[in-house]
Amino acid sequence: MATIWFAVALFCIASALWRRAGIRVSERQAERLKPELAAAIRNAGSAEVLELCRRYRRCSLARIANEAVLRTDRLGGPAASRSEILRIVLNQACIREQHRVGPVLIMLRGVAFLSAAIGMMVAASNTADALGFLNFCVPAESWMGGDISEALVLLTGSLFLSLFVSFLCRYVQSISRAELTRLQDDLSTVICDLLSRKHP
Amino acid sequence: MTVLPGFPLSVVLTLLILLISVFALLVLFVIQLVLYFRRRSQSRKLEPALRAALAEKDIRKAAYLCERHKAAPPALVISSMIAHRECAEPSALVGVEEFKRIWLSTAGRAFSKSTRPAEFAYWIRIIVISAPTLSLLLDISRSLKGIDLISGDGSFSLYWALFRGLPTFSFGMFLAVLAFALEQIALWQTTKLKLMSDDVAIEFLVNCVGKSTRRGSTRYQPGSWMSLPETQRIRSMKEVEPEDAPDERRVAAT
Repeated sequence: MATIWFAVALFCIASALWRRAGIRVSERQAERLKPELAAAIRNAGSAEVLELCRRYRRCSLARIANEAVLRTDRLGGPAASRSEILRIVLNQACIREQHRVGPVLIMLRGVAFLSAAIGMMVAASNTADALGFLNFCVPAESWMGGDISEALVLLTGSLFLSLFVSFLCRYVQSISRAELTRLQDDLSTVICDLLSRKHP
Repeated sequence: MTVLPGFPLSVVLTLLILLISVFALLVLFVIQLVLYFRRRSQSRKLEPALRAALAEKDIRKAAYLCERHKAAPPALVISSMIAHRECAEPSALVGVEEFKRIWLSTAGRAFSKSTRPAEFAYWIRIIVISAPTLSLLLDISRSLKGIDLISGDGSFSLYWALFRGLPTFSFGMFLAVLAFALEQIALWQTTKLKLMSDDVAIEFLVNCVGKSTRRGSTRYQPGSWMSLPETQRIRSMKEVEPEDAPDERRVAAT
């Protein structure tokens, strides 16, 4: 059982680190992309912007800009309503980006809950089993103490794993929130650039 | 208080609660499965057709599609937006805000129903964890009263309480795991449908509210000009024109 818990803990750490690495790559690419994107949106056509976004496809800002340009290619009307629609489109793309972290968070949350619940379930059934042996067989010859001790060790291990994965989950949530804040800052710049576009 | 020999009221109540929870979980699972597959199949039929209709700015077709696939989540949102379009505000910005308000409120109403199984599953999870735990603690406290902790006399009642309560607790945990799985599945499915519905609503906003500067030419349909409102108005005017009215062209020729 200890091996399984250890493997699960390692898998969770790897998932969290993978997510962190993805965010770091996205952040680094966004730094390079921002000036190029601003220039492309202001001066070049949609095809160039899409090509630029395709080149930086591992960056979340590029994915969002790509979706915004694709969707609002034919958008017209007064600047105020255009800005509002752009904001809606970009917010939706941002939500979609946030959902990319969803599977990792769901998995971590699931492991945090399930390890505690399964640990308690198995420990309770093992203890009940040991007590049944005591109740219905010869008390002096039973291995009740050892069985209950093993069950308690299992329970402690599973609760520790649950606690650890809960911390990992919090960590992934916090780095995702930081990325969201950064993205929202960048998006206001993208909205300004899209509104002052020369080639709609 | 003992209901059955050797089984106090708390244990019997816990067993009853767990049985009811099993039944409720089964019902919720079936309801969620049926609703999800119904909504998903309707959405799969509706989504591409609706996107095409919105791209062509064919609002009538979009309304017809929404009416036809009522069970699909985007249908409710788009049909209320189309209904509002008739009395849209003259100012574009106010119009967009109004459409946004309608979209968010309709989607909120529609998806609050979809998340109900997840909410029920959450409460079932809380109940199936807390009921056996409380019952077990109560039972242990009751059995500890008659124990001499130094000599260990009367400890059999404690073992018996544990032996009786721990399987119930274990079963409660198993049900909690199932309830958690159901909750997560329901939430995931609802989120997926909500994202799709929001996408279609944004498509509506972009195509039908944001006025295009480069309007694409509409496909030619033979005879469609007959149904244009302007043509119909002219035709009806000609029909009500009296027979003996002076023909201006003839008068001009003479």
